Amino acid sequence: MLPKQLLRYRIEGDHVVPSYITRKQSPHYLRIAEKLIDIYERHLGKTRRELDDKLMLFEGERLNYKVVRGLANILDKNIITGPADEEKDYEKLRERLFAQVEKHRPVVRSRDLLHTKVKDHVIADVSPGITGDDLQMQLYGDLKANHIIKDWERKTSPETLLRRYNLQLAQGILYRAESMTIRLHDSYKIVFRYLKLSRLMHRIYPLENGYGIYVDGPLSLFSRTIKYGIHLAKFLPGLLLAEKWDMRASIRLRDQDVFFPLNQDCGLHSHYRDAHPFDSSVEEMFYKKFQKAAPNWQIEREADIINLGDTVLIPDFTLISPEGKKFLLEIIGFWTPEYLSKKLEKINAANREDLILVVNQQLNCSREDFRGKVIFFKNRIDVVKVVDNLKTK
Amino acid sequence: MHNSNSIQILFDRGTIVIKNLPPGLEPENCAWDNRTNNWRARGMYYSDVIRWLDFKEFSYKDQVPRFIKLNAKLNFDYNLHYYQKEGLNAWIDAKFRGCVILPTGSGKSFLAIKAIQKVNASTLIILPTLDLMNQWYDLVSEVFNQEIGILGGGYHQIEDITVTTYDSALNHADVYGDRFSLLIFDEVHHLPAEHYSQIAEMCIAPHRLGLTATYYRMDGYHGKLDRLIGPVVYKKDIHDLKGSHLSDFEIERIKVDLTPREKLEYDKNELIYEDFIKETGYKFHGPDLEKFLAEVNLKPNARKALLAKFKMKTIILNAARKLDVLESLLKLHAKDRIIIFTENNELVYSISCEFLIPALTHQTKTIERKQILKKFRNGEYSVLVTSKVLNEGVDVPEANVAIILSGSSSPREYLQRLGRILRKREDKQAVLYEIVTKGTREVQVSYRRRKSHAS
Repeated sequence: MLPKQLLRYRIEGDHVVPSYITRKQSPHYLRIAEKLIDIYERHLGKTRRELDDKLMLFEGERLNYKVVRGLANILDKNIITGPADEEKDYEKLRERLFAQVEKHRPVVRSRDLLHTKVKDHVIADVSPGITGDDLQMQLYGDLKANHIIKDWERKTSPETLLRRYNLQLAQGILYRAESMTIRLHDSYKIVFRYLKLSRLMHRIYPLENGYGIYVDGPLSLFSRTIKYGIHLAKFLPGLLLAEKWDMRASIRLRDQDVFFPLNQDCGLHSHYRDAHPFDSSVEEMFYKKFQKAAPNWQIEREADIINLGDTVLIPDFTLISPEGKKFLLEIIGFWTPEYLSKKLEKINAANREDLILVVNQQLNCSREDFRGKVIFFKNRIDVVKVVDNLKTK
Repeated sequence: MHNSNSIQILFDRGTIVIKNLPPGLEPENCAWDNRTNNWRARGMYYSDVIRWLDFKEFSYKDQVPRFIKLNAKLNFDYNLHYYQKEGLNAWIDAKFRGCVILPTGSGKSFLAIKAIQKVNASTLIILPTLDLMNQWYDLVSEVFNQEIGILGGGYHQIEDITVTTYDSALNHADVYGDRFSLLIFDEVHHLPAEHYSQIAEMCIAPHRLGLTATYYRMDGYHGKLDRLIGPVVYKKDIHDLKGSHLSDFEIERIKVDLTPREKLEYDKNELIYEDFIKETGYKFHGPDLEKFLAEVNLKPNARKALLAKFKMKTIILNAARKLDVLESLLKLHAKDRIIIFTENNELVYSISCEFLIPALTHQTKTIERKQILKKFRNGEYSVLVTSKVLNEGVDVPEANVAIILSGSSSPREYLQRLGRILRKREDKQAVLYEIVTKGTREVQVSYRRRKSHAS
């Protein structure tokens, strides 16, 4: 995400509007991005200092220097740099040289009556192999500024660079966020997976057509804090994977409290991995077969969230009978023992009457392990049996 | 026996969670968390929560602390100065909580080491900069006969005694807040800053020591330290200690001219800048500065003025004749122990290459800085050039000549820099040279700093 000093935004009333690179501006900035990539390209094999000087020159008196620096900031993370000579022990070299020089102090630049030996002589005396020219590179090749730009780690296209810029600008603003309120209408599993990865806490409340999720962290209970801003920023690309959503983050900017609203039309692109529409083929098969076996039932994937405080349980399917009776169905197929025990813990914590478990018999568990209602299956799920079973409940 | 319904207390990301507390009770310093349906307190109230549970005579399972007993062995012993001893005892009397105020260069770190020995349990030492963190690492690993951990600056190794920075501690207190029994905050006046105070809030450590030479903050937030660390338990300022072990020093100011080329370049940029100032009536500080900076990316002339200003600053800082003066000082003090200070790294490395002098900056890696400091201390090296690395803090090797090549206008920083050579070394008078550029703003800055020192 972009550092504070490179953020560009306006505050309009009570909310913040990031100065994204817009569609209209993008031809202009595509050219700049292209030039920047070209500058980096042409500095492969040169030093970091040379690259920085060139970037400074390119920036010149431009008013939009913050965009230029922002783009360069992103490119910096895509290159590999290192000392010219990776094998050379620069620290040892300096230690040897400085120890030797000590008896020749003071080292002077020009000769006088009292000091007859100048720097170049001293160097020649104590350390053959080193020359007085370009001493920086010889002595301090391990210094960042003297590092060589070796190669691209990932070469980006100008288009990707602009997309990444807009995302990182939004993330940079979220860095100053205290909390986030989300209205989410799909993709619960993937969104909660990233929510959990980012170590945030949630409150959930049902909406007409989805869920409201309020996100902050443990300390938020006691006082306002932007400590979780970085977590919220890292979570954003996860949220972007949903299809229908909007959010409002509370941000502390320039000593003001403002909102940062975003929704599915924001045009930002996630670079996080999306989940496959179905977690496993077992579920996909079940979905298809159920539609055939019970055409007058409604079946929806991952449509409900059971809040467990620290975490959530999102059952695989929500089933609604023709009479309007609702069941939550969770398929427990092949899992590792740890995963299974975590799952069981969650299911038992949920303690829900309408939760039906469809469990593979080959798993090492029995009816007593579950607090909910269980239907066992062997090898493959008998959908007709499941439907019959549901009808009796 | 505990069943799943007995009271449990847990550490959760910088907070303390009480599970299964019977309803109808309100534990002190806790808040009800309806996200997880239990009572929650900031980590720093751990001891209070325990005390409350004990007072109510509950039996409970405490899964919070991961403190480790140290059995600390010191590689060498030393006698504390009287004021270090008094400070330490005052802190112990205050139940191992509170702040000790001592001037820079008075050996706060040795007091801290004795404090660790007294508490004799896992300790986290928190420093404002990576350089200070490195210096403490050097010192603590020299003194204690055990592995020392580092958290920050690319290191992530936790040991029973670990050094870290305020920034890293803030980022990781949610994970390690339960691991340390003693927290030592060096330069504790940084702690009350808005975010940093969360470090103290998230850690459960019952023992806390704050050290500083400059306790009082302009914004008055030092008042927060009472709650976060404890009260001020001991205070001695530089005048109380003068003569007892800190020596006097002389200040010599040397003015250099810009070279004709530099002058030309300087004047050119000054013109651009002054034109802008005249045109707009801005002053380059206070609210005007903010307005000015806000306009930098809107108005071409504001941007140009700012660039000109930077250019002027660079010319002054790097004035070529400063190196000529430096060269004569190096000749003059050929037999002395000299530390050269500059404002920027760039200059450090050019001086290092120009006069073949070992360099220390924040980029110097731990092993090399340890090696350089050791050699300077034992006399193998007689000269050292450094950027802001040795500004605030501990274990700066003794020197009797300091040369400041460029400086910023912060009075506190200036005082602390002076502290470097304040240590008495036989009967030798220490000298501090300040090399400034004549007829430019830098002279004014330097004058301002002197005044603030005198007052």
